[in-house]
Amino acid sequence: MVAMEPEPVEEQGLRVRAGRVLAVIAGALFIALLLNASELEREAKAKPLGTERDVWVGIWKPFATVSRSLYLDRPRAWADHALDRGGTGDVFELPPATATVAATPTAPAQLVRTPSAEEPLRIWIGGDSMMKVLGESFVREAGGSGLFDPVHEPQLESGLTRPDFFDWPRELNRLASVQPRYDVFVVMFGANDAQGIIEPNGTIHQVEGSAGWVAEYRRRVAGVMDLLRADGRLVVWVGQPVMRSDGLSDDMAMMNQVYREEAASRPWVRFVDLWPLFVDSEGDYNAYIADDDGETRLMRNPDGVHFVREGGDRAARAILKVIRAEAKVD
Amino acid sequence: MLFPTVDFAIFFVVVFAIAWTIRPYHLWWRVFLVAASWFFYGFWEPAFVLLLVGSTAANWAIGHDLSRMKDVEGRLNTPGRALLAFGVALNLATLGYFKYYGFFAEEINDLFGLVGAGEVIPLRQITLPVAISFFTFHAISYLVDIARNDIEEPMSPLDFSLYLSFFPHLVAGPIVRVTEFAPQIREPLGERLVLAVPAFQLIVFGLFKKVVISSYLANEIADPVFAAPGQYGSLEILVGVYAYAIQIFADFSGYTDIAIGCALLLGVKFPQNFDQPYRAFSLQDFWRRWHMTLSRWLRDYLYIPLGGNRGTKAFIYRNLALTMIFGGLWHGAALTFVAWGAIHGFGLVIERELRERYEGRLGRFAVVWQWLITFHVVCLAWIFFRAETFGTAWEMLWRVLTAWDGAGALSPLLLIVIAGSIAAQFLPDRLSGSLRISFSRLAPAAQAATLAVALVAIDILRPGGRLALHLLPVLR
Repeated sequence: MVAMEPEPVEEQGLRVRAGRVLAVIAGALFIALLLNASELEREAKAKPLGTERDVWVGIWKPFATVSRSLYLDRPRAWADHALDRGGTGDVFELPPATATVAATPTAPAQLVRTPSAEEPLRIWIGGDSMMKVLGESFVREAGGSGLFDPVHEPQLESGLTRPDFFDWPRELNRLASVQPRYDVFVVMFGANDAQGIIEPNGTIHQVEGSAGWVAEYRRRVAGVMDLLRADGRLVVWVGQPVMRSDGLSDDMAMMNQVYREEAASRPWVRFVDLWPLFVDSEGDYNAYIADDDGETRLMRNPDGVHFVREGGDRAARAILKVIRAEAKVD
Repeated sequence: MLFPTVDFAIFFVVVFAIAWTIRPYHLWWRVFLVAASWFFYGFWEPAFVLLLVGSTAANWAIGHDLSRMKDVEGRLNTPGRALLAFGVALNLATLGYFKYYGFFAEEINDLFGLVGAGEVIPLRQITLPVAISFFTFHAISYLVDIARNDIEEPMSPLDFSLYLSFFPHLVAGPIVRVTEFAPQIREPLGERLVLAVPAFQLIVFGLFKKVVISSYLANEIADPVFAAPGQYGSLEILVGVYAYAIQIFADFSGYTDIAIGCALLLGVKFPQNFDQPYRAFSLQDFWRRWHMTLSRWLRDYLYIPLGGNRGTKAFIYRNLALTMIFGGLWHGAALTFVAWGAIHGFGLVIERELRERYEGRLGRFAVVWQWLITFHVVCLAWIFFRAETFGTAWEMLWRVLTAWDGAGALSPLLLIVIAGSIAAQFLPDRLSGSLRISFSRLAPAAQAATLAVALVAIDILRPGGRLALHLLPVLR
């Protein structure tokens, strides 16, 4: 309260005792909690495996049980369904590939057709939060020529380890058969993938990089590559760049190895290695990198992970170069 | 932690309960609020708390000394003036190091590059502590207020700590004055009475603006258009710019509304920060409605010290332009922000000239034109504020005028949201007043249920991806 000031008219009668206010706030949050408990539980389950996740799941679970038994979770579920929101379970299931593939396994002379102004290449570009800025840059770099028609759909905080946050297999399966079909898929995952992973049989691999973890992650990467396969279609798999944190960098290098190996055995996949583009002369992370024209520019976000525009542009040019080469565009 | 999170909701309920319980123990109440604020800040990065504490200690000590360095008439003596200059410079230097190092290093290196010199200043990326722009401005205002005798006596270390770090205004304002803040925390407790209904209204509508409207417009059109304008036609770019105008208003005013509401629940009244800015009929009017606590800070601690309204016309215009350009640079370390400030600065100057010439000679429908022109000058400035480079800004302006094709990116929902948001700027105040009265008549259980449904609805409508909570450049 400001002293000396008479109470303004619009405030008269609106002052309430603090105890009653606390009751209203606590009551509101409690009701909101019951209405929203299933969603809170789902989000807690989507956290990286570990103690923090267990604690939050433990907190929300009883509320979710009560909420479900009283049907209080229904309004939210209906709304989510109407808006096509919400994820699925935590099992990474690869749908059977529906796209058409010729019986002959021999690779064609040219993976993807050469575009013209009348029939530009339809390109889908997406993935995790790394793809936000990079994809924007790609749309700009690729869009100028009139030969490419890019569609940019990143999903922040998504990845391949945790389908319970965003179900990429389901989404990519849908995109693979969309009409008119996409000629090129540019995908990038991994920035959120350095965390515990669960096999379909329920086996948990807590530590990223362990033999069991790599085997399950490899199955998923290979599965996504196969899912996107179609005649006359190019899949560009973009590797992760070096990160400021050494631990995160090691994880990215480990996953890049998986991408590289799986891409190598699939003629329709090209792996684009961003790593060398974002290290300094000593081979280390540096936010400032000498660009193609020799000028040193700020490439990375202060978080030491994401790109800023210049970094996105640099990565986008590398990706576009690969697509141009495959499509035989000068 | 950020306001629209479960973490903050839990934090706030605990703080609310404890703060009102110990409110009669005036000392402990303030100690508790300072501790809670430091915890809130340390949630981002514990090391930054040291910076906040360091700034608090240095500014308190300087303020304490300043108050004793005055002559009989109460004016600062010569050493006092030197100390004030030092104090302001110290604050600006700290802000400058964290916020503008990269900007100046790049610009200076470019300059030297022209004459063939290499990298004169090493390029390093410095992590910018959250909130530093705001507590720096709070600290400067405190020192200047002491020098000007706007504050009768310096604050105690505890009160000053609370002033600088009080968590509702810490991260993104509003910029509260000592003269507004100090009396409220000195007040001995009467009854534990809370202006709860206006606070709930501010918080719920603030969340809706920030989490739903702002994020939706950013994802749907503003981000893609500003990232690759070459892909969009005239109409799409125009709508993208309108969308950004709404987005930044919804984001920023939403955040400060939540701040004002939270402070109100804790018994501290903050000044209003936004007052339907897009209903303004002139730029001058716009700045009385947009980020009002920043405007008055710039007026009192920059425009007036520069000379303000006293002097020749050219002198006044210089002051206006300088103030706005500096205000632009405060929002972000790039020349595009300077351009944003310059458009407003020169716009204000031109507006004054026009007003002198045509005042009282305008026709009946002039207000429509005045509104349209004001809104579009503000939007023009937003293009430079949001665009990453001048190249992007010019490309957008060029394409608005020339690229007469395509409207595929525009959905009916998008247009409805934009039109509705602009229309909402013209809603009369009494509407929100009657909403408050109806809500206050509800039984507590019904109030709780209403708030709960609103919160869940906001959560359902939130666009996917938690990072979509768009942080303004000014948060940094």
